[in-house]
Amino acid sequence: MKKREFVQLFAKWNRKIHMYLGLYFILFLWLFSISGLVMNHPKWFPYKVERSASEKNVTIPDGLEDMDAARHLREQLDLKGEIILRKQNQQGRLIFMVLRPDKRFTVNVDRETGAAKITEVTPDNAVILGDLHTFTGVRGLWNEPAQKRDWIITRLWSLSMDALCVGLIYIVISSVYMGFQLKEKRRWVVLSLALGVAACSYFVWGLSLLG
Amino acid sequence: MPVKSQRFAVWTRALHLYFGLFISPFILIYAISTLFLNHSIRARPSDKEPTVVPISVGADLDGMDLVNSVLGQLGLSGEILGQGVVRNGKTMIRVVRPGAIKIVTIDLEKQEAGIVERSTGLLGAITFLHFNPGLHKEPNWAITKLWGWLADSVVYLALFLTVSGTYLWFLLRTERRAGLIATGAGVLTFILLLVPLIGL
Repeated sequence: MKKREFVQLFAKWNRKIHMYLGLYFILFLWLFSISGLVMNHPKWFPYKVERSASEKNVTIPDGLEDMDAARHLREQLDLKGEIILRKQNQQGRLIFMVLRPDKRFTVNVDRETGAAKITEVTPDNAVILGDLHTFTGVRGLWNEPAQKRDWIITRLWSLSMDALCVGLIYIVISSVYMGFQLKEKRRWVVLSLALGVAACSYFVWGLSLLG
Repeated sequence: MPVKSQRFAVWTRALHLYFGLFISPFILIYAISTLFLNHSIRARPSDKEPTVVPISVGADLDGMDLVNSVLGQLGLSGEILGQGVVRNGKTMIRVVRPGAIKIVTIDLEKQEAGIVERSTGLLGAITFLHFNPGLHKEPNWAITKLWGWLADSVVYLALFLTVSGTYLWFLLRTERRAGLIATGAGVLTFILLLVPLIGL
């Protein structure tokens, strides 16, 4: 294959992949764009949640580590979500949360009696959007000693976030390539890209250098 | 295609190209920082040797009046974290810029301010920008407000790009089938993931 043919084929497939990736990720892009906007304007959508509590008796098999016990109880109580297990401070009790964007359960169990208090928080739609935006399973603010994703859906969701990011990086690179292929528009291509690069450079490097 | 529609398509293509290129670096900031956040990789801060600077503040000052007075004397500006609540004659505030944090400990009795300069590097800078203005507080620095305004603009432009991109794809008859398959696959993936996430 000659160099010219290769370049033409590359340009053709670069454009196709740019288009297909954009179409594939369109709903993900809408979700993360709109949720980002909502999170940047908390006053537009004040934080609203509903709370309820219930009590149940549970059994924890002997010899289980805290995380395994929490998994066992999640199943026993038929809760679905990511387990958040912070350092346990109350002797004789196991306290953990089960989170997913539309529900937050706090489970507080007396290990000796098996009495469990379950608090359920149901956020409104704006909060759910924000939680979908940040639901990685390994957030620093959860303050877990061991940050691991323990729910298959969290793993898949975070994988889709990675895929979206890689897809967006490809879309950006391919658009720069396509822009520079348009010789008659090159001046405007350079200008629009330079404006974006200059604005971002000011925020990323400029402010710390100037401060 | 009628002339009017052709002109509309030409303009849409031009705006899709130029707006897309303008927000490209912003998209890279959000995408790259997300990859790090999603894998719990945080910036590793490095501190410089602390310095001590004499200040002059009235004993009755506290809260944001105290913070503003001290930062004015030190010539520091940035996103301020801390309310200036005095305990045991001291208060600590953080003055944050992308990639750099100045930790200022104000000692009212000694009338001095200890300053530790902390660098969080490129990763710290893009993470800071990703989180700001954010959910938990109103920005208090004009530059953070400006970034917030730009972040909003990036969202509006990204939404425009998705709509204009879909329109431009639809004009290409030869790509309709493949594009429909890509869209369908994306919608299906999205729904299959969303259903268990929000308990539908």
